[in-house]
Amino acid sequence: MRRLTMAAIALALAAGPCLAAAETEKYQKAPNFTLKDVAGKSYTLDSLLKNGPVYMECWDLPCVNCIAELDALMPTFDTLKARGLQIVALSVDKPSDEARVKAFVKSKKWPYICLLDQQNKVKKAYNIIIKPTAYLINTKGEIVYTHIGYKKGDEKKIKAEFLKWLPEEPAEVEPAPAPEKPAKDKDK
Amino acid sequence: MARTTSVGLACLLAALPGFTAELSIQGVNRAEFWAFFDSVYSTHTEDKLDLDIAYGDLNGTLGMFLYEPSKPWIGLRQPMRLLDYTLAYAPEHFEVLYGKYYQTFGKGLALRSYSDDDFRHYKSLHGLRGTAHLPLSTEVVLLGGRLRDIFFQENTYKVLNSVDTSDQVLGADLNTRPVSFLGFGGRYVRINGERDLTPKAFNEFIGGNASTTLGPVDVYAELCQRLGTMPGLGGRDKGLGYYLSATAAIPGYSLLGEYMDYDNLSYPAAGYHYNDPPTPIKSGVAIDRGVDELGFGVSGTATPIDPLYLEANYGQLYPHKDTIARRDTLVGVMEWEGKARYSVGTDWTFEAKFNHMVQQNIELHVAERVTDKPTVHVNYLLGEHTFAFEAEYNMVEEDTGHMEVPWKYNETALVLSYGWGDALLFTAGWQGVDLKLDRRYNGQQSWPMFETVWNLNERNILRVRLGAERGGYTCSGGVCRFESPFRGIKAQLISRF
Repeated sequence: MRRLTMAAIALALAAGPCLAAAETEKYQKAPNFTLKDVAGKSYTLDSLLKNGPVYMECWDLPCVNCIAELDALMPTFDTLKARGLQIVALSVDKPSDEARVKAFVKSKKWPYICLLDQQNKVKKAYNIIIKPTAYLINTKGEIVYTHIGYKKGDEKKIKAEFLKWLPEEPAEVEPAPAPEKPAKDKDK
Repeated sequence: MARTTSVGLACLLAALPGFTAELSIQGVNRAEFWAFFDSVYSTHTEDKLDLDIAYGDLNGTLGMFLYEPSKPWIGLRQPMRLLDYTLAYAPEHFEVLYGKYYQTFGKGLALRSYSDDDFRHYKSLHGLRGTAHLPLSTEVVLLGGRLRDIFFQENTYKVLNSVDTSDQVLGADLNTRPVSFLGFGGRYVRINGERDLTPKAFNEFIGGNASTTLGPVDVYAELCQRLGTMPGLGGRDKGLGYYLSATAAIPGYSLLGEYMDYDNLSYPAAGYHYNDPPTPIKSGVAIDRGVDELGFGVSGTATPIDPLYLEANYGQLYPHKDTIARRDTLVGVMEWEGKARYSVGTDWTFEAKFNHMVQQNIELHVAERVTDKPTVHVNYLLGEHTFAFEAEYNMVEEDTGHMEVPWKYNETALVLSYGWGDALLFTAGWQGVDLKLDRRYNGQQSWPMFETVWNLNERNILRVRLGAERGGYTCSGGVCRFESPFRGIKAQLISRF
């Protein structure tokens, strides 16, 4: 009985701070993952978040609207990548489609990080049922925005969300006025 | 002593939150219940829980799998209760893992262990694995373990390698990309058979790969040699396989070519394999997954005008000529497919597809099956509402090898669905066949179905399906199974926490 009590106390002590943290948490934690991109380079979510927020979209070859969304986000990405935005195109196609995915990604010239989730590990961890489903993950690793489905024009709504989580654009520093050249003529 | 231990444990647990790292526990649970509308109302209960635990550089997984078929089927359908775990230490540049893991070397010519949830196929390794991430995009993997191949077939789970789970797998793999346009890899896998009485009953796989990127062109080549032991006889049993692929892509267009030759490469020769090399057939059909296969595939995509997307695929796979000469039956598969898709904004999507396939002695007791299948798919998005319609008409000519006139029949499939945002999805479908086929479909000709998917909240999804499924021969990545026809109700709850 005593042993049980001790164990219960231990658990309560350990769980206490976690419970307190859960109460104050506003956003759900994004599960970390390690995946390779189409070129074979490994990425983890944690390492990506060190560079800025991540917008991760789940897509596959038959999903027309996923591809449309990734196409539509290209101009937004071009303007915001300097502020730390990263877009991850998460392919959930099967391993047998790997060569097709690589060829397709190359033909699209997407400037994103194109990861292969062939075991559907990330798809399962995020409970993705509908494609496209995309998550905006802030640098603290919290899912701050979820976008399900895609309709033309949604990219404006998505951009507005990006702007909420990106650092302010550095104000253009006006170049210091060049020191006036000594007016030789004046001296003369 | 016990009290001291408890106090120590209490102190340790209490101190844990004091460390800087955060403890995170996440998981997914899939619970399923099926009731068959047969004479004994048999049932299928299944639960699969995967927990991920992370604390700083330490992480682990806990997996529970429970499969409980109802009693009247116990002779054929055995219950399964599995508890798996993984413990890993993974700082920035390396990882040491003990427990259950999946690992594929290269394209799978030497070793392929993977999970396919949609196909309910879990081919895992159990043991120790070390991975090092070195400079110049170099990765080294060393592993030792035992294989467990769980497969769902004829409405039951089976361990395909139940007699060989004690075989030991040892492997080493190196992959490097010192410059962005050039990559190399090398690997060695050794399988020590414990139940084979042949002296030195082991198999070795020695392989390597090279890849290069030259502007819009990517080329990949992989070679693998198998050095095995003749079962029961002893002596060297040699095999060789290679796989080549080349892709060329410019904006809007892509072309992929694949060529493969697997001669006595896969091991074991039947049932399951430690290695599973790729198939060029788009629908995933293979002859024997690397035992005796020679084939190629070509695939092209084009977007000539922005909303129009075109795709064409051709693939064929046959045994080697000397094998064909020895056999009195034809074996092989050929498939071609053409697809066109046109989208009007994101509101309307129209897709038309035509698939032609010839399968010779791929399915058991089917000498030849030729199918021509046109498919039409329409999708309409109206605000929060999605409407989708799909129709498929499969014209089949089938010969069992003992028939004067082959069967000619048509299989139809119609699916209509309505979705409301991501909260609800209703699907009504019907599958039919215009000929009574006792052997293939138990004499049934009509399979109506209704399904609803309800997103209860962000973390729980409930799927309920009522009606019937035609089943049939389906494949995924070279692995095929015959799905038995189903009549009854299926309920599935997926929870994330």
